[in-house]
Amino acid sequence: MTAAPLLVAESIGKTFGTRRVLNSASLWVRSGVITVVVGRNGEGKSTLLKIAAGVLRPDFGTVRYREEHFGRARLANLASKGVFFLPEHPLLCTSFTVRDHLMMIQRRFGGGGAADTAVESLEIGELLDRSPQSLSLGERRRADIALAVARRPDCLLADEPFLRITPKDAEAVADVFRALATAGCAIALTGHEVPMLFDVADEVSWMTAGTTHPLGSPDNAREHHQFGREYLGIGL
Amino acid sequence: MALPPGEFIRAILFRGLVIWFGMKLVVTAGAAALRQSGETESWLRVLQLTPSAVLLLTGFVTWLVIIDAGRRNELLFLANLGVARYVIGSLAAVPSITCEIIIGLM
Repeated sequence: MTAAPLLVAESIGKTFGTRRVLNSASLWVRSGVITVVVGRNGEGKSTLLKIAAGVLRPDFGTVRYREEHFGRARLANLASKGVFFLPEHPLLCTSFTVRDHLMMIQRRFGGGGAADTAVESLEIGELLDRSPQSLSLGERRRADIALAVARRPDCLLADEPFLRITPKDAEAVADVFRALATAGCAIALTGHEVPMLFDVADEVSWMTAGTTHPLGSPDNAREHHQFGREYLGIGL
Repeated sequence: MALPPGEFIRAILFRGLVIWFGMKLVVTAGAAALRQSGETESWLRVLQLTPSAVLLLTGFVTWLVIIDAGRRNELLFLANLGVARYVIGSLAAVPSITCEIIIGLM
């Protein structure tokens, strides 16, 4: 039996200037399930994730979290109820070290040894006392993901988490996402790194022309003729 | 309403104070320059602003602190900690309002 979605962004529409980016797009994020949203650049994956996280305001559509309707979802409100949003750009503040960030999250939300687990599994022990400006983009990304793990969120929305990460580190990141999902976290990821994303995904959603198309499991997605031709480039 | 961690509260208050001080210098210098020569108005009268000017100055200081926090990637991190933007704005306004009240009472 499929679990009821924890976070739902439904029939979302968004226009920037004269360009309509989202046209009735939807995202369902279920506990213990990793949902991957893929699509070409500019199709609105990040916009949909930001609206679901309460970072952007939709033109129309609704966001529901734990069956609570939000006319205007805001990240601060959702975050206090268990949502964590990992943006595409670095999350670490320039004024504090990586350790400071982890400590602040631990003090606010507890989490037991989650921060230590994050440091160990993402191998960021050597980065803890460095400022974000001194980190490479890949190191920053791993540190950002460590913050998400330290938070132990009920729902994680991560925009392009595998961006700028080496294959070895990507495997560690994938393991972290799997462990979170196993612990019951509802996860939505976006990106273009299909082999890595499909490896961790339970469900795939294809975004094209501003609308989402649920494709089911990664195997089902690979067999989807139109998706294979238009996104994966199979049979061209 | 969640408050930011202590590190952020101190940083926001300090930045609010520094920006208020800078703005106050500019406003006071402008007001002094506009005075008619020969006026014997005390320096305290020049420092004291009307209530609407205090609100305008405080609003501007708050806006600058929030812009600065955004530049430092702090807004999204604080939102992930459950801290709403209006809380950051309210904190940023504290030094300006406090200092203006003190000057007004002098």
